[in-house]
Amino acid sequence: MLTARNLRFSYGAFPVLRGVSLDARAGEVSGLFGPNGCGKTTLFRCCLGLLQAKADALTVDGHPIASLPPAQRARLMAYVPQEHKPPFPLLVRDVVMLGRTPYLGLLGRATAEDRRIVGDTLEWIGLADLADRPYDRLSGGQRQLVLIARAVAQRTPVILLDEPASGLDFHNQVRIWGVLRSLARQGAAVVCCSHDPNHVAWFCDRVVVMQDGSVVAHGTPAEALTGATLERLYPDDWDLASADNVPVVLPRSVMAGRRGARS
Amino acid sequence: MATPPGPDHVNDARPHRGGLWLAAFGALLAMGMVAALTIGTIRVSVADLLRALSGGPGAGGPDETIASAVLWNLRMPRVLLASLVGAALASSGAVFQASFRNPLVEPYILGVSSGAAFGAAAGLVLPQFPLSVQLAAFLGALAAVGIVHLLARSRGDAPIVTLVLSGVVVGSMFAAGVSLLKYLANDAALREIVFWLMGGCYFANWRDVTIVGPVVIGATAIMMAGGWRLNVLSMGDHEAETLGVDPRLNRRVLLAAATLATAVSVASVGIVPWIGLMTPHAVRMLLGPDNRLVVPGSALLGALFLLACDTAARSLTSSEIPVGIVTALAGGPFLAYLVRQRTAGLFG
Repeated sequence: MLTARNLRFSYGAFPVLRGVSLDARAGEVSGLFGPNGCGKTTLFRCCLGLLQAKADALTVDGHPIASLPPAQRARLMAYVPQEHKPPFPLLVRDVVMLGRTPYLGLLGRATAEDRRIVGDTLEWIGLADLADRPYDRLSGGQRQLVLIARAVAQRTPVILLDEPASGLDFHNQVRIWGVLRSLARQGAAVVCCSHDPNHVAWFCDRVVVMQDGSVVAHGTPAEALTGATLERLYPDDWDLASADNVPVVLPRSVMAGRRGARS
Repeated sequence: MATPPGPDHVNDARPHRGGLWLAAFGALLAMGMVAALTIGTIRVSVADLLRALSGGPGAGGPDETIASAVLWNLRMPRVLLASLVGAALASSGAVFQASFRNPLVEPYILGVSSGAAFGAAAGLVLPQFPLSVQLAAFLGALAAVGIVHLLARSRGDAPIVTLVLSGVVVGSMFAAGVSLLKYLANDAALREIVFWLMGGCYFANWRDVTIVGPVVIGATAIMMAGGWRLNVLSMGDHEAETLGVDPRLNRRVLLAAATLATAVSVASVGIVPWIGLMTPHAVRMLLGPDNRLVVPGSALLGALFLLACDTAARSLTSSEIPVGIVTALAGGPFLAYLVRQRTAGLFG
């Protein structure tokens, strides 16, 4: 659904992306994984058409992204930023209605159908009780869910999420990844950047590992998140354990401490 | 039969409630206009008012009463001008606050007021100045905003922070120019400048109304139509674009409308402070932050507020008080009252 081939981007003379390729398929959660500052967010902005990148190909659903006007892009790709507090807090229902903007026309007049979609989406994500609360009075996890609901209401085949689970508590992290899994099950191409190797290993179908603006590995989590990849990203810091064949990346200091205590 | 609770309870009832508020504001404005027409040194009863209205302007002859002349030549243009200017400043304030994503912004932030003040002062002080004071003020306002945009422009875009900073810079330059002109002015001109700076509708006439009216009504219509897009823009430029709204184009159009409405208002009545900053806040406290309601609500409430202040300014004492003093004196306590009333709801 979303394809980037050999994508390059520089801020002035400083290259941020040096030939990145990405292929997000419908029905899958694709993870974009790498340490802070590796270019994940810039790659997102290029894919969304917010930055003009050079690429051999950059298409969504077969359309070249650079030549799509914003209104048309917004019917193909939805974007979920990290949760934030806007200066004028709309009600939760109105924030989700913002996702209908590409269909509303110039005046933003919502039809009964738009309202139904917003209501259904709030219900589906489990936010119906909060529909009439001001957005800024929710918890961080709830705000993140509202922004995801906004993207779902946008009814796009591709959804890009920027670190949706970072900064949230365990319960909310699990909840958010659950929502993303079910979005993929319903046929969406979900693209999600994350700096948590475990989240990527547990919840993504496919992963692109980035470092310093280049792809260092890609494939299924088992193929991409190997010891060699981890050593490259986190030299001497990582250790790999497994719980019932589920891989768990741990800090080496923790593992060493345990082994020392046991012996 | 009772409706089963289900997705239906997520149904939206608020637009209707918002519409009721707007209708109430409109009704209050209409009543305020009638009241303002009857209030003044020459008392006019509602019956006189109706007779004068049905008679049309300048009925002339023996039927022409003093009341009719006062109404048609003095009060009506003044009432209309005050309402138009109030609507323009308040709705522009709402647009500036939403598109700059900053509740402390007012429509004068980009130098409209200081540019207009400089133009007006130049027109008042320099005898060889060829333009009328109003036209000079209008051109000064546009010049200041134009310079601000040129300064802020980088790579085809004008980021908000740079815009605001340029506004501060250019504003202070023009303010220095006004100070210089004041210093050079003789006593009579200095007095006029000071009066102009405090704002007032003393000289309102039909010509003002026919110039200000179409501009303000057109610009306000553009701003009202942009209510939803302002909601989108207030989430930030990146998000707005991913929601299908071109942030640069829409901000440009909406700010141009707001600037034009503000400039033509300031040029005709001087610098009326406080309305552009306060009214949108008052409306948000009453109706919530949805700009589809905030922009028209601000227009109506701003019109009502300036109309009330101007009527007070001309009728409280035997001589006129500059309306800027009244708006600040009345607006401050009003906003403080709203903040205290609504604090529990807003922050509780």
